[in-house]
Amino acid sequence: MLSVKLPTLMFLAAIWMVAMAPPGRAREVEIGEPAPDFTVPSLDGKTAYRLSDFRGHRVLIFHWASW
Amino acid sequence: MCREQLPVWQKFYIQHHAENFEILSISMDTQGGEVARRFTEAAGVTFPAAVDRAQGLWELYSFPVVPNGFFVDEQGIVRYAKIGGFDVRNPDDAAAIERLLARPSRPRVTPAGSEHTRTVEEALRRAREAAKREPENLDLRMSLAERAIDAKQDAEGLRVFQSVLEKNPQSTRALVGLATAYLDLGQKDKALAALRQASRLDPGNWIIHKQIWAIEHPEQFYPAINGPWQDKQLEQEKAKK
Repeated sequence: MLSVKLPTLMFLAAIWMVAMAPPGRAREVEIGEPAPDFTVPSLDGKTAYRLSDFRGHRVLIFHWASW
Repeated sequence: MCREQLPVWQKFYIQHHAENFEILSISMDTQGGEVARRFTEAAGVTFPAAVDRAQGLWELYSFPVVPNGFFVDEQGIVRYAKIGGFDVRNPDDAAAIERLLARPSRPRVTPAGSEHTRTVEEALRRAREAAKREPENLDLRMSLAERAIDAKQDAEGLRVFQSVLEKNPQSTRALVGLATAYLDLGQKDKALAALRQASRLDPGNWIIHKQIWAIEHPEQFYPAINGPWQDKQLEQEKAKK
């Protein structure tokens, strides 16, 4: 009969979950959590927008691509 | 096609801009802002339009596809997120944003000096300082490399991405950024090698996939996108699997 204790199982499960997480996807953006800040240049390449500079306004971030 | 949404977003923007609302559109075009600009100009877009050439955002916001919508409130909190298939022409998606906008919101008087824009050189200078303050922080280092590419300092971007990959060879963000720098420096083969490695690490990432196609078959993307070719290409790849 298997005599693995519950804490051991939980520990193994935690290892498994970490191992299964796709690389480079450590963070998830969550509703109700702060939006990660970033800076992106304008299409003409001259100026840069920073998300946190929009604080005080409501912003829709829309990702798209020409392709 | 995402770009067909642009004129509809412009209408939405005009309708709601006075409700303390901004749209920050970001095109995931490694080939640069110019390829995206043709479409924003044709659509008469007046909201902020940016480009994420080195594609650092898909890791930060965990999206393997576009189009996506993230609604951020006055305090910088995420109130809505839809990854893939986000479309203003879809009544559900438009209604979700309009519901959030229906809440009262008073525009905050923006204090002097905190305008939305700065120069790309200024953004690079700040990124250099931030990375210097925390030399072991790889995220800050990647942000620095991305800002260097934005400011056309590709040699610096390349060097910094390489330093990240020495510490973390599995970083798809660094690999894709590295590919962007190589492309700018005219080293197409090295760019493709980095992208293929990134694609192996993150096979579900459609953005990397399209980027490989765009480099291998530029005639199918520029000056005009060949939709049927992409469909055929996708079918062939699925058949291989």
